[in-house]
Amino acid sequence: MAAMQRSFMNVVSKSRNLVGSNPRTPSWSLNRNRTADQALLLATENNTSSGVDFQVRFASLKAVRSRMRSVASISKITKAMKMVAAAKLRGVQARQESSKPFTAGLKSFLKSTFSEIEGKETSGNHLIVAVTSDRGLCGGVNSNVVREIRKLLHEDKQNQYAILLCGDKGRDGLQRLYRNLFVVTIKDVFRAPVNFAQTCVVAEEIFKQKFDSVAIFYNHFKNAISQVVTRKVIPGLDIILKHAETFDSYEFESDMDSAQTLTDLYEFQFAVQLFDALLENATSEQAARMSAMDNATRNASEMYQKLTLTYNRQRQSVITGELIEIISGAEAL
Amino acid sequence: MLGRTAVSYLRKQTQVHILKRGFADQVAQGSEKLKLSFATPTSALRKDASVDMVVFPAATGMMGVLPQHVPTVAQLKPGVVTVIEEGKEDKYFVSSGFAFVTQDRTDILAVEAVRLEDLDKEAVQRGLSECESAINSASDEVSQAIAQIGVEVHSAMKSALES
Amino acid sequence: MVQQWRAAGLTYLRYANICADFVRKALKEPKRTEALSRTTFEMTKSEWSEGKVAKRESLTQEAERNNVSSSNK
Repeated sequence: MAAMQRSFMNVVSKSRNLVGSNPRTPSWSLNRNRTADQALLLATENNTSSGVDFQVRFASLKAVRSRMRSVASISKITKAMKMVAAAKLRGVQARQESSKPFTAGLKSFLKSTFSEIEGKETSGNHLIVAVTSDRGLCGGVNSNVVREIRKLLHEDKQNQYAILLCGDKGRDGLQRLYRNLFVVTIKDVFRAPVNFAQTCVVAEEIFKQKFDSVAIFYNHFKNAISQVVTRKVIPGLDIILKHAETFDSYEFESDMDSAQTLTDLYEFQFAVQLFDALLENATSEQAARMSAMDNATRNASEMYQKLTLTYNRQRQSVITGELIEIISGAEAL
Repeated sequence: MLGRTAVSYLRKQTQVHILKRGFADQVAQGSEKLKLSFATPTSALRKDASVDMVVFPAATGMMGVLPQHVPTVAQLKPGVVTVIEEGKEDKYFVSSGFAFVTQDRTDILAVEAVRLEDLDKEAVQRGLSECESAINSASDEVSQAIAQIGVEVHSAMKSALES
Repeated sequence: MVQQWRAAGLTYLRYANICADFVRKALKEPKRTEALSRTTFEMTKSEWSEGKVAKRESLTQEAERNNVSSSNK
């Protein structure tokens, strides 16, 4: 019995150490007290038999009840966040559908011209444009982009890279190792629905940098459950002008010389492709947030059910223990 | 060959560019349609639509496109895009953009496209006068360039509303 | 030979968006307000140098539109 008492106290003290110990996980995080929950579950399971301290049993009852309350409120929050994300997803998806003919209109032209040039030159200065969100709780979308960029920077030691970031999450993920490569970070890109005028301003910031090619990393939206990290490569203007003969199969209707026309066309196609990437990422962000909050709500309700069972079992054993003491006390008289 | 409306339309537009077509003798009688997408960043005015013809304001002049056109990239200037379907004309004023024409399809990408009836005639006239006087009072190159752009756009809107 | 706006330092994108804004401003209400509000934005840009933020600047449509209209006065 002393051994059982000792092992029980070990488990309870371990759980006390874990409660609120880690300052970095926020107080509402479900991860914070998972081990503490398991300790509580273990402790109360071991108590159903006999002779463990009366006060300790009551303390664990209160702990379970307060834990249940916090899990219930967390699940309310995540459920609300899921509905907000679902509504936002509908909106941004509709906007993306309306923009599809605009962003897709260039595709066959680019395939026969820009894509041909892209394959020819791969070395030099590259600018990485990382498209991420400002806010978190959106599943893997931001960490996937950060991981792909880290992989590229780790593997390619020959070329020079600079990084332009749209969104704070990308900055947070890359700044520890690669802050020296940062040139510009832009915040609040996705605060309001992405529009073309805004995209052009971001494109102009990109044009201010010197580069031989640009690699845009973003999440392509396949459907509500699947968002895939994609890399879109666009050669720099100088490279395009160098290979101007690739455009010979097209007649150009313009009142300026071919270099001017190509420059105007280059800036336009860049903005259209960037617009596509920003829209796709905005849609992916909402979809990923909806599914992450959905999972969190499901986990929270599972945890709540487990805690309810534990609570009831514990409550019954407390009552049984009280009865036994009363009866044995009465018998002693 | 061409629909009656298309032919009379072409006769009206004296500045219509020479239509360049390849394989002209292979064009079927009246059954050939042009696949057209005409879009702005926020809306699709035509999405893979089958039309008879489309006329748009290229920098070199009004350009008419029929099926089986030679591959062309046209820089647009402010002006009117006319979509001809089933003999009917649908007109939009576009601010600027590019048109990509291939054998199979035509894609017109405009930054802004509005219906002519949505333009306010007085506002256009007011804007034109403001920009014209701004050219003279401009303090730097950028302001002057912006005012010049304003004159170009407002003049185009004005003539679109008057025709 | 270049366009006047290119010589003044504007990009094609700036030219295209200025044209688009002139067209929007010439619309009848309520389409005018809807079109202008659909194309606003407010972002903050930070320029980095050697791993630290060197300069912060806000990029807003309001500022752009004020630039254009002040040149019309």
